[in-house]
Amino acid sequence: MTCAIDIIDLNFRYDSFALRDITTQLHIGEQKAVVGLNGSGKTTLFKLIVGLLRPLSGEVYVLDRRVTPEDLWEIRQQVGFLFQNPEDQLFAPTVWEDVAFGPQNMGLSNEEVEDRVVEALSTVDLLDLADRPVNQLSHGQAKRVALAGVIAMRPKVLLLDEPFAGLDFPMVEAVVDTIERLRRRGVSVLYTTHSRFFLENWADSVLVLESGRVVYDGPADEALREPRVLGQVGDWGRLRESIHRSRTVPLDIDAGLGADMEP
Amino acid sequence: MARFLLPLREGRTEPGPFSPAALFVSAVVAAVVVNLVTEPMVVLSLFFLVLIGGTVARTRWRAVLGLAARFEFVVLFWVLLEPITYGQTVVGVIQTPWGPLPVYREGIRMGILLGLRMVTILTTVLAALSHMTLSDLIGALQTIRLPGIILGSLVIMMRYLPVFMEERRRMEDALALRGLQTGSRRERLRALGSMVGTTIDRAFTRSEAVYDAMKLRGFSGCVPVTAAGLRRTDVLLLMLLGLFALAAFYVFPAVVVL
Ligand SMILES: Nc1ncnc2c1ncn2[C@@H]1O[C@H](COP(=O)(O)OP(=O)(O)O)[C@@H](O)[C@H]1O
Ligand SMILES: [Mg+2]
Repeated sequence: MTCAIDIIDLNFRYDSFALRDITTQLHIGEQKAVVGLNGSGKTTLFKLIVGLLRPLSGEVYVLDRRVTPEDLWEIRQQVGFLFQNPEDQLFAPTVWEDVAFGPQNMGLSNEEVEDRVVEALSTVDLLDLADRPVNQLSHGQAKRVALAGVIAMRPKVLLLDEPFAGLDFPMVEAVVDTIERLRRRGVSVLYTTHSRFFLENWADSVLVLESGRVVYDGPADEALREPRVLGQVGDWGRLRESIHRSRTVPLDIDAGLGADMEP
Repeated sequence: MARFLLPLREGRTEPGPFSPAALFVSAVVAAVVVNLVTEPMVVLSLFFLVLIGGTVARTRWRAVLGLAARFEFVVLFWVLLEPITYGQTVVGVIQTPWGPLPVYREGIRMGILLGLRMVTILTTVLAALSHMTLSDLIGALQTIRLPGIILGSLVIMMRYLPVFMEERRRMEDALALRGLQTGSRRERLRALGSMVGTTIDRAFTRSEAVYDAMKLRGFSGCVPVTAAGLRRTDVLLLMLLGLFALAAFYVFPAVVVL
């Protein structure tokens, strides 16, 4: 079976090791959630897949094509990468020009570029903002424009780095809806999240990273029975208890924090 | 975004009658013509010609002249420098603490001429730019065969300057919220000093991220804009340019000298 993404024994280091011996697959049409604490290497993994970083050792294949410096543009037309921070992703003067940037680079005719931009902006429901300067967008709008820029290239694989972070509920719904529509067209999705809800409801499989190592890679329903996985997406019960305790136990333990508030 | 640098249009716009490339080249040629004229009154007449022509073409004068006005210091510098440095015929003497400073007639004329030329050229070029978007301009520069690497740098610069300014504004806000204004002058200076370093650092990091985003969508240092070719109507522009030169070298000199 061919894979959308096939990663074999991948190692990478900045100053110290960021990823160690990563081996995992994303099958075609699959939706995989990548989970891990801040700094566990999720973003680094995504950057390696699209060739923004080069592995220390190991191999990455996208749709059976090895990611090498020579093939980057071929691969980047197949894989769309939505950055965690949309402000880093938008750079053209206006929404329209930003979304058009990828298709233009793909060498499409002006009419085709226009079709794609209209389609992508309609998909994220932002066609009416086409002429807006990109620095005048709200966070949620910027995120959706960035997504439109990715969609306009019609990628077969999507990498979404914390696609819901900082979005309000209607925006989350809108983004989920957009991605679901793409999935029905056979797009494979790899995305990072910190939310248990999405693990339970919006993933076929889960990859769990801990300090740059894979600690779980398998079906989503089994993942939620693993204590190690639960530790990554939040033990909300423990947090609830801790809040409850601090609100009921009299003030005296947190001497350092509250000391100068005493009369 | 480039608003504070050039009066470029933003968003999608109806293409005008002339190709951006022809418009750009015409503005440059007109600038050369203006530069060749030696009679201040003729330059002034050409300036008015540009104003009239621009008004017919519905130029956004407010944006154009607003930007041109930012160069007032450069212009004034030359207008005031020439009278005291150039010429032989003394028409007056300014008493300064460092001694008398002669003012020359030739210099006054030269200062006025230079000032008028600069204003006219600035207005012409900025007015032409105000009729195109950034993409148009880049396409135009590509049509006239400017090397891709220069174009690439231009695109990046146009994008990074705003990133830089945004970053600085954010940090100023953050410092203000934490009481920058209320501190002593020395603290304030120190905070500002470290802000400069951090701004550069952060803008650099963000620029890298933005550059990554551009690469992912196919930016390779060269620009995607399809070099917008010339149009048939550009011939008309050529004729207008001819009339402009005619006015500059024959009509206006004749009229002004009379
Ligand atoms: N540009 C960089 N230079 C050096 N270290 C980095 C850089 N980017 C990330 N790191 C480090 O690599 C590790 C993984 O980071 P990252 O992939 O961003 O994690 P995540 O996305 O899971 O939060 C972290 O320890 C982080 O500090
Ligand atoms: Mg990250």
